[in-house]
Amino acid sequence: MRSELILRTWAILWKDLLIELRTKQSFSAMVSFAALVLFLFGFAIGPDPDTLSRLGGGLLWIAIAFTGMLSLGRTFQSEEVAGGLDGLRVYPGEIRAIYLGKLLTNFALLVVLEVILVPVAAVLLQLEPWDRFPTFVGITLLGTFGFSVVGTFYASLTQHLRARELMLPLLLFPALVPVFLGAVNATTLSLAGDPLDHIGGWIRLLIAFDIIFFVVCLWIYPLVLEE
Amino acid sequence: MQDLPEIEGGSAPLLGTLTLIAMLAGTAAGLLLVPADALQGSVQRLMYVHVPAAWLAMLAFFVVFVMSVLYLVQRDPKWDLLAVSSAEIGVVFTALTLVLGSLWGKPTWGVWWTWDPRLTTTAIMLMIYVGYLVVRAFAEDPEKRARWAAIIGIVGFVDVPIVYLSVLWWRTLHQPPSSPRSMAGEFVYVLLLNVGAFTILYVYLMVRRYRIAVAEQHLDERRLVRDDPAAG
Amino acid sequence: MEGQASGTPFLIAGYLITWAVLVWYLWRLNRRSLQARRALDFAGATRPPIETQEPNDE
Repeated sequence: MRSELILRTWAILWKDLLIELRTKQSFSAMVSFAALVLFLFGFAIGPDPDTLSRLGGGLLWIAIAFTGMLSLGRTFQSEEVAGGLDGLRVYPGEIRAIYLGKLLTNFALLVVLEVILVPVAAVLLQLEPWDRFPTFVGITLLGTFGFSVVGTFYASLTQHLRARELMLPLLLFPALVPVFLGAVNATTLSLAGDPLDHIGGWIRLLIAFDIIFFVVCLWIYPLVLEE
Repeated sequence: MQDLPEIEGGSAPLLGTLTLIAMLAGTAAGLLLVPADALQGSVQRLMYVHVPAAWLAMLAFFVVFVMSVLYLVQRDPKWDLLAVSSAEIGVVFTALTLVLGSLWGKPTWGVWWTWDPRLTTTAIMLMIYVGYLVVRAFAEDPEKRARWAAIIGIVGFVDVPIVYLSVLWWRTLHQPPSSPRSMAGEFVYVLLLNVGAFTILYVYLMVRRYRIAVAEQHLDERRLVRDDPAAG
Repeated sequence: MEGQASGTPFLIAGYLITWAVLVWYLWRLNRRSLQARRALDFAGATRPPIETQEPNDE
């Protein structure tokens, strides 16, 4: 049973990543959009290096959240062609594999995006993530995972709604507040230095939020897809 | 089709009168009976509406949570109708709570808004349940609408304490959160009177709103029957 | 007291808004239930549906 779940999840992840690989345009558009958001921050805040690096953690996460939100909607839209989701659903076995597969697809896409985005942000916003790079990477992965967990869940929920482009952020962002706070604060501390040693607390909190949201979303997910 | 309860009448007028009396008594007691707070002056009397409004909102969202669970377990549309009634009332009173808190905050703290954990969480809670109501407006199929709304009602309710915790953590790193001072006896009684009045108000509003929800569901069903050529 | 003098308008505004919200919401509920009842009367929901109605009922 467990191994079947893993196999099914892997199959969906592989299928979605293949689709992404074969249609690289949409991913390039995502990257350009994220970079564009960073430029807009620069224009809005001004070129002062101190201000930019102080706000860097928050700006980076807003860029990731906005871009991620756009890509979330697409994960389930790709299934609408020729009734893909119905096909996945009627296939016997654990329905949670659909959620897990889509979640990992979103996570993988965002991580690839961040690999490109972080160096760009470091240059544009004068960030210095290199001193504590492993911590910085760990925080980014934890935050991205939390975002993907909640985001995939709500993307699936809003898939059949009218005006879903509007509904997804309306539902997602309030629910994401804990993950966002944890990720932004931990990132800022890892970038700007952490004299009072608060970073460990934020990381533990981020891990706790990730686990809670993951368990709740995974547990309740079959109700979302029910026909 | 189940039988249609009356929209007005029944126990509602009696309950309405009771609510009005309780609310008037609460307002009168809050404004006239208790002396003004020694530190804050008369503006502290806003507590007698602010706290009960917040209580009503929390109660309403707790009911949404319970009704959502019941709906998902039993799949009886009446739980869904109760949940949406409660959510609407909760949104109205959460918004009122925020406005009252703002009015209280301006003369005491000097600002309309502060990033206090409770205040911030209340605002996020408002957004969660506005989302709940908007999703309902955008879903067409009644069964799916009820199921999706119930999921949002459950996840949203679970989310509220987590949001509170995270904001608390965020704020305590900068400044201690504002905490209520202990209160003298008569303050507590007046506060309890108002909390009681708002609770009756909630029950009354729920009765009214639920009946409307049932009636509108009847109308929707008839409309569906008429639109569906196979049934007509 | 200084606080009392400066705070009173906020207090009055708070209570006025509370009651205004109450009145507004009740007014809205009344209007909605009135609309629903009219629509139901119009659709004949208080009587059996038209398809199954007895001919001598009209």
